[in-house]
Amino acid sequence: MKLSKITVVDYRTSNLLSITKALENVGAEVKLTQNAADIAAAERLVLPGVGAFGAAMRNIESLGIREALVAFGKSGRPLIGICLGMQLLFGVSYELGTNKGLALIDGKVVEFPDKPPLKVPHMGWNQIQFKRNSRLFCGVHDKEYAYFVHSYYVTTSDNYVSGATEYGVTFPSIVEDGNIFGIQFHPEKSQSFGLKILENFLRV
Amino acid sequence: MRSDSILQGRPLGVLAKRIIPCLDVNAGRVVKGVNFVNLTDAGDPVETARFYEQEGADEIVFLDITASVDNRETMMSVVRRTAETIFLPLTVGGGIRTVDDMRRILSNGADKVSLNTAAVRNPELIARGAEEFGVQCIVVAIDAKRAVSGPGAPVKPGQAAEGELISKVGAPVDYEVFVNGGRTPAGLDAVGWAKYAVSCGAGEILLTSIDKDGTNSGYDIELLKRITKEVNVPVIASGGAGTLEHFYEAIKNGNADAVLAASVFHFGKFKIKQVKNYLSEKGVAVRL
Repeated sequence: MKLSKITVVDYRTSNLLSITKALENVGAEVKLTQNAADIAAAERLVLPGVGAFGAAMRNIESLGIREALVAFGKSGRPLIGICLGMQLLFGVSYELGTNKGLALIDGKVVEFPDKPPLKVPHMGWNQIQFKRNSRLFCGVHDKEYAYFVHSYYVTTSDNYVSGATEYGVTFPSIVEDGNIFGIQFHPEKSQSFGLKILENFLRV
Repeated sequence: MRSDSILQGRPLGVLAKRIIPCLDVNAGRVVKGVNFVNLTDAGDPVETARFYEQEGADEIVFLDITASVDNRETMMSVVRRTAETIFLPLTVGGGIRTVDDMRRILSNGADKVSLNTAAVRNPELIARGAEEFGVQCIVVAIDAKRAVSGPGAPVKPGQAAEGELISKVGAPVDYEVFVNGGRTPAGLDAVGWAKYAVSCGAGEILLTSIDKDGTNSGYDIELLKRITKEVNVPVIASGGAGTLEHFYEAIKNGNADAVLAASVFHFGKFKIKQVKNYLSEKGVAVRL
């Protein structure tokens, strides 16, 4: 298989071993970066992430890569945000205060309602329902399980929602706008389903 | 949200119940050997984990039972090679005493760490781990044993003789926490300890019944019920799986969020797929 070059943004919040290995597993040549020039030169970009929204944005600011990320998103080259990385694509998050995101897609990030017996964080295997055709869905089935770990979720226009998941609310688990994608679950922990989604992203 | 939204409906998310094989690892080798003909090296944790991934495991738990500190590095290598090879959540427990221990395990690709003895000795470790890595990373493993005087039998505060069980707060206990691999009574009531651990930041409880472990006579449903009723984090049932019904009972009657087993999987009594098919037929949501 021809290797697809992919750049993974390392903004110091997450362990990138698993996502790197998952991308390599599906044929990517991975470059990790913390600088704006690499982002500007990337062919395709992964914005991973775990942790808190505000802390992540502060790291992005302090690395001086915020503008490069926004410019990349607007360039039409393929970008995928994973878990917290998906949430960062949106305008604002209400996790631990109000924090502005990259605002590449309209929408906001809100907390799961406290609805016992549902536990927060939403952690474990849950289903993705297809809401429209997506280039990410080639070779995967509707209502397959993916592995989630998060306490906040995105609300956005239906126009951007490709996949949704139910957990007290129905929330967008896969969004896309042009070549910008966001996935709330962890593809690197979602076995063959997750790997297939990543492989499809490499083909975008 | 607009009334015609594609996200409308009456959702009540159903997380799949997880089936988790547990591997005891000593000096980089799986102990209580796994019994599969199609593994070239059944003692290799990485290969065994990969086997279980293909079998449909939802998560893998490694319990490092290595006694010597020198072999900790061996375990780190096992964790790293596993995380590089399998794309499932990975939990690692055994011998974790400090936040730095947790960091090393997580930075080698584990998703969660499981604390046991060290958390009992120093509950602040739970809080510090949760602050540093998030509650979703912190599992507290509780090894519980039914009180010798039997459940419900009152023990008078302050009058517990040696061999009798009494919690540190002086109330009678039905289940006591044991540490050091189940060898040492901790003087803690299991239910109270579970609640306390969660209040400190435990994101999940791995609950092992010492009485049931290794008996194949079923999970301790009473213990599960008591703990799941009192904590609002996922509880993994452990100890006692011997039949397909046992898995179902732990979930249905014990309200377990996940079921863990070792020997029934290692010795090939059941395939993970078989357990999942059984549960699915009984109406339990599982990832098939």
